[in-house]
Amino acid sequence: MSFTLPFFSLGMHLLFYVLMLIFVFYTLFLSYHWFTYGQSKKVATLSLAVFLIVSAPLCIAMSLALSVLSL
Amino acid sequence: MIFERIALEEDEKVLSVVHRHWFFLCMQCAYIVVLMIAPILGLLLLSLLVPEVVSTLTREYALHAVFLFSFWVLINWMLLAYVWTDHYLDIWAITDRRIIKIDQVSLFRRQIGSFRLERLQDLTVEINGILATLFDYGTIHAQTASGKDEEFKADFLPHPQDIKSIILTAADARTKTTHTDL
Repeated sequence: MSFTLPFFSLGMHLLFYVLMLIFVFYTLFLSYHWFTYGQSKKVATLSLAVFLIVSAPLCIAMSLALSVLSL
Repeated sequence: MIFERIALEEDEKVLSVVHRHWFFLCMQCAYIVVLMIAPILGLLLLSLLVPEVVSTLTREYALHAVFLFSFWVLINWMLLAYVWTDHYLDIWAITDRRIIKIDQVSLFRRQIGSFRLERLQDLTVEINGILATLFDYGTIHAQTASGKDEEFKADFLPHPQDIKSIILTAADARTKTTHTDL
């Protein structure tokens, strides 16, 4: 039942790179807000750490899936 | 950080800093978490209805599914971070001279307002509903002498009666100080 959808792989690559670009800028904006307008550096650092720790496996899973699909 | 940017007056002391109640944050997060796990729930439901199709699809397109699900979760995770930012950066700071309201309207829009305690005319606390009573949150409405009361209304504040008492005590002390100075 396996079939290839036209442009599906290309679309996934495009989605991935666009999301990564948005993610990088979004992380920069959020961390700027947390560190500039937050009340404590400790909470801002913790927020950034949790945000990155959860995001990292998702980004890795996406890139691994893409690289295996590209083989 | 924030109090360096607000530029407090000389000898101005911050008495209390209040964020919205944690229950409000949990409610907002719950919607996003439901959205986050919706594809899994959908797949489970489909596997009950048409198990053969789902098992074939998951076998053939497992990597596509991993990619799309990670993509979906990451977007929702970014939304959760925004909800947290909104919660963390929206504050009511009560000092011994004024009330400062900071509202993070969106990522690039902030509203900062303040009014002096000697201008405080009336302070109303509203606790509406079972959940508000149970979790002790409510709305505080501060009326100033200028009548621009809509600027100083805050919803979902925790322990509103305690906040009211802090503000009234500070306002009384401030009025006494200003009268003594005169």
